[in-house]
Amino acid sequence: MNPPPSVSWMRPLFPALLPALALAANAALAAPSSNELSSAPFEKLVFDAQRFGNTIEKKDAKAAAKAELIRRGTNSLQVLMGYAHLENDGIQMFTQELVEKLKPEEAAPVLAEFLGSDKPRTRRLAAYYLGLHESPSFAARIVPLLRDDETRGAAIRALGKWKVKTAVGELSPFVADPKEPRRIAAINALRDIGDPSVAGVLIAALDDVHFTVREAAQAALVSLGAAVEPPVLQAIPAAQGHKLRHLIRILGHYSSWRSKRVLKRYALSENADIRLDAQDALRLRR
Amino acid sequence: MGSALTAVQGNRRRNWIVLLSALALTAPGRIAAAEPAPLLGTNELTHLHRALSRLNMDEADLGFEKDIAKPVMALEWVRHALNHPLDLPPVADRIREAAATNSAHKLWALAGDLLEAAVSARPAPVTDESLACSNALNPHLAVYLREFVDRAGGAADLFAAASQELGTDDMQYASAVLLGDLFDSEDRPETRAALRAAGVSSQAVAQAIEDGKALDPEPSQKRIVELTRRLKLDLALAAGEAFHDAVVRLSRQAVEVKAWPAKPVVLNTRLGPVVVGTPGDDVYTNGAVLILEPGGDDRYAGEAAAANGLKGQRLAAVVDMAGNDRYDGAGLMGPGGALFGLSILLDLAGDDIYETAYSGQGAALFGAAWLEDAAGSDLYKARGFAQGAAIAGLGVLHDGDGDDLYTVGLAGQAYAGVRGAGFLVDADGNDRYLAGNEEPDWERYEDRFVSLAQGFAIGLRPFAGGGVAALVDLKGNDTYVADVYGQGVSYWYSAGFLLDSAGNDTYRVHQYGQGSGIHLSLGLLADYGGNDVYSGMGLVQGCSHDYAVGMLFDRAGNDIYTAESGSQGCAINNGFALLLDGAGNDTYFGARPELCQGIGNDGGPRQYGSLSILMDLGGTDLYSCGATNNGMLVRPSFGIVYDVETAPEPGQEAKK
Repeated sequence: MNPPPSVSWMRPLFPALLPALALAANAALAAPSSNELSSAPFEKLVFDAQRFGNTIEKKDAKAAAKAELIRRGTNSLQVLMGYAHLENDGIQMFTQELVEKLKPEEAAPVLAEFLGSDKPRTRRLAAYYLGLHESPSFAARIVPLLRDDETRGAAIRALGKWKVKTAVGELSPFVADPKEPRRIAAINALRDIGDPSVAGVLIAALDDVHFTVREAAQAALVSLGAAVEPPVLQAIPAAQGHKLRHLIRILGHYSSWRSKRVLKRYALSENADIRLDAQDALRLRR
Repeated sequence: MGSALTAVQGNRRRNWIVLLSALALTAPGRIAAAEPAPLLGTNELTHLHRALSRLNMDEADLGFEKDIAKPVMALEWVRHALNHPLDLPPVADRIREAAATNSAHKLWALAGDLLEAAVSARPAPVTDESLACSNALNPHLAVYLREFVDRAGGAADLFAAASQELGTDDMQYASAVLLGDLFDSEDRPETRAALRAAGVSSQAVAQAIEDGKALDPEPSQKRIVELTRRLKLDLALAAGEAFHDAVVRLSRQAVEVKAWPAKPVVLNTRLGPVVVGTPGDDVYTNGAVLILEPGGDDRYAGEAAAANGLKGQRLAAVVDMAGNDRYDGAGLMGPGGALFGLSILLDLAGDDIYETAYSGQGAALFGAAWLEDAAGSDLYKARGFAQGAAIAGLGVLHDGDGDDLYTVGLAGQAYAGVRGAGFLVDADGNDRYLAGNEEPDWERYEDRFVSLAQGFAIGLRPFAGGGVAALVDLKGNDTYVADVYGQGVSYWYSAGFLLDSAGNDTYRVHQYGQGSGIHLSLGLLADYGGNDVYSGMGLVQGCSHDYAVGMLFDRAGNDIYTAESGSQGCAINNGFALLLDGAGNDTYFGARPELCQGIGNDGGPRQYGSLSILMDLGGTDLYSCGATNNGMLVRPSFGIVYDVETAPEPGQEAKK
C-alpha cells in the first residue's frame, strides 16, 4: 500500500519494500558474495536496490544491495539524496527506509545539506525525511522553508513534530491556506506544539468547508485540554451548523460543571443530530 | 478561502455538466421503461444525506481534496469525480444503459465521450479502382464487396490522418515498451522474438529494455506519453466506427447471398487482400483487410483476423457467418487485435474458441478493435492485454447469447491504459470470468498473481492519467474470479467499472477490487439484482486507498459479503468509500471487524481521516462489527454503518 516504484507502466503496481525473510530461501542462488558487495560501487547497489524484483535473481540482488547500502549508512544516504530529484519511487522509498534506520544525529546533518538544493523535489524530500526524526536543533534551518511552496508542507510537519514553540506565529496563518492538506498539516503541527494561544485559530477552522480540516481542528482542541475550555465555551453561543456540533463534541472532553450544563441543554435539542452529539459527549464525560 | 475553493469546484462542475450533457445527447432514448432505476436515486440520496448528517457532514464534505497530483492527459471527468464522488454512479448507469441497448453506435459514442475525444469526422467512401472482382463470385456479392472496400478505404484514410504524426520508429518503440513490459521482454527471449515477429525492430526492443533500466524513468515514460498524445483519438475512433459500420453492413448483406464459391477467392485491394471463403471448413493464415466466411467450422491462425500497422495491414476484418470456429493467435497480436490499426471481427453463430498466446480478442494498442460474437457458448483464452483492452484507443469484446468462459492472465476482460477505453459486454448466459495465474504479484504476495482485469484501468504514474474500463454483464448467473486488482478497480487517474445487471453472481478477488479506487482513482462495482456472494481478502467491496474513490452498489437480493480487512465501505489514506446495498437480507462478515465496515484510518503520516460509509437500505442483516438493524453506528476515522430494516415503498419518503 506504499507508493510503488515507477519503472514502467505496469511496475508502479508493486511496492518496493520486500521482507528480507521472503528472500532467504533463494539467497544463495544469485546473491553476490559479501566481498563483491563490499567493493561494489554505489551506482550498482542503487540500481539493484531500486529495481523491480520480478525474477528470483533480481529480488536476491535487490535484498543484498539494500542490506549493503544500509551497512554503509550515511555514505549511502548522501548518494541516495543525489538521486532524490528523480521520479523514482523505488529510490524514494528506500531512502526513507534508510533514514528511519539511521540515528537522528547521523541522518540529520546529511539531510540538512540538501535543504538548499536547487532541485525542488530534493528540497522537499530532505525536509520530509528530516522531520522523521527528532532533530529540533535544525529548526532554524527549517523555518525559512515555510516560505518555499515546494517545502512548506514538510516544514510545517517537522516544526510540529519537533514542538518548536517559536514557530507558532509562522504556522498559524497556514490554518487558512487555500490548500486543504496544508490547512490540516498546520492544525496538526499546532496540536503537536501544544500552545493554547492558538485556540481561536483552531475554533475558526471548525467552520471549514471540509470535514477533514474540521475534524483535525476538533482533535487539536481536544488535545490542548482544559486550557482552551474557556474560548470553546465562549464560542458556543454564536456557533451554528458544523461548528456548533464540533464544539459540543469537544465539551465531552472537559470535566467542568459549566461544560456539563451546556451539554445538558443541548441534550434536549429538537435537532436529533445535536441531541445525539450532546448525549454522546455526556457519556464520554462519564 | 472558501469562495476560492468553491470557484474552482464551480468551474470543474461546469465542465462536468458539459460532459454529462454530451453523454445524454449521444444516448437518445436511453431511459426506457424496463431500465433499472439509477444507482443513486432519491431514496439512496435521502439516506446518504441522513448518514452524513449523523457524522456532522453534508454532501459538500465528499469533496475533500483528492485530485492532488499533476499528471498530464488525465480525463477531466475523472478528475472531477475524485472530488465529486456522487457524480460517478451516473456514469456507471450510462455505461450500463449504452451496453443494454445493443447499439454499437452508442458504445462508440460513449467511448468518445468518456475519453473526451468525441467523434468529429465521418469519412466518405473512397473508390478503390484497383479492385477487380472475380467471375467466381455472385454478382450481388461483388457489389457488396466493392461497397465494403470503398467504405473501408474511407476509414483507412481517416485512420492514416489520425496517426500521421506517428513514425515507424515511434510505433515500434511504443510497442516495445508497452507490450514488452507487459510480457517482460527483458527476461523472456520468447517475448523479444514475438515483438520482432510482429514488426518491432531488434533495436527498438533493445532500446525499450535499456530505457526500462534507467534510474530516471522520466525520459522514456514521457516519450510514451507524447506518443499517445500524438494519436488523434477522435479521428481514430471515427475511423474505427466507420470501419465497423462497413463490416456490419456487409454482414447483413451477405446473409442474402445464396451462392458461395467452392474454393476461397482472393481479391487484391490497396488495403490488402479480400478473401471470400466457402461453406466448408476453411483455414486462414494470412493477413487480409477482409475475410468473409459463409459457413463451416473454420480456423483462423497466423496473421489472419488481426490488424498490424507495423506490418502494413492496418485494417483487418472477419465476418464469419456460421460454424464452430477456432481463432488461434500465436503471435503478439492475435485475432480481434489491432496494433496501430483497426480490427473488426464478427462471428455470427456457433460455439467458438478464441485462444491466443499473447494479446487480442478486442484489444487495441493505438487504434480500435471490436470483436463481436453474436451467439453460441464460447471460450476465450489469452495471456494478456485482451478481451476488451486498449491503450490509446478502444477495445471491445461483445458477446451475445451463450454460456461463455473468459480466461486471461492479466490486463484483460475490460482493461484500459492511457487514453484507452476497454469494454467487455456479455448480453446473456451464465458466464465465467477468470483472470490471473500468469504473472506473480512480485514483491507483495509471491503466492498470488496480478490480474489487472474485469473492469480495471490504469494511468502512467506519476506522469499521465489513465483510461476507462467497463465489464458489463447483462444476464445470467455469473462467476468472476480475479486475484490482485480486479472487478471494478483502477489505479492513478482512471476509472474501472464492473456492472452486472441480473442473476445470482459470485465475485472473488484477493486484494484491490470489487469497487475500489487505488491511488487517486475511481472504482465501482454495481450489481443490479440477484442473491450474490462477494469474497476477498483486503481492500475490496467498496474501498478506497490514497485520495481515491471506491463504491460497491448491490441493488437487491440476499447477499453475503466476506473479507478480512480494509473492506466493506472502508476508505484509508484520505479516500472516500461507499458500500450501498439496497434490499434483501444480507450478511457482512469482516474477519477483523475493527478494520471493516464503514471505517477509515488516520492517513498514516498525513494524520487525517477518510470517509467510509456502509449503507443497507432494507432487510434483516447481520454485521460482524456489531452494527444493528435500523441503526446508525458511527465508526472511527471517519465512517458509519447505516441500516434501514424495511425499504420504503416506491414513492414514499424515506424516514429514519
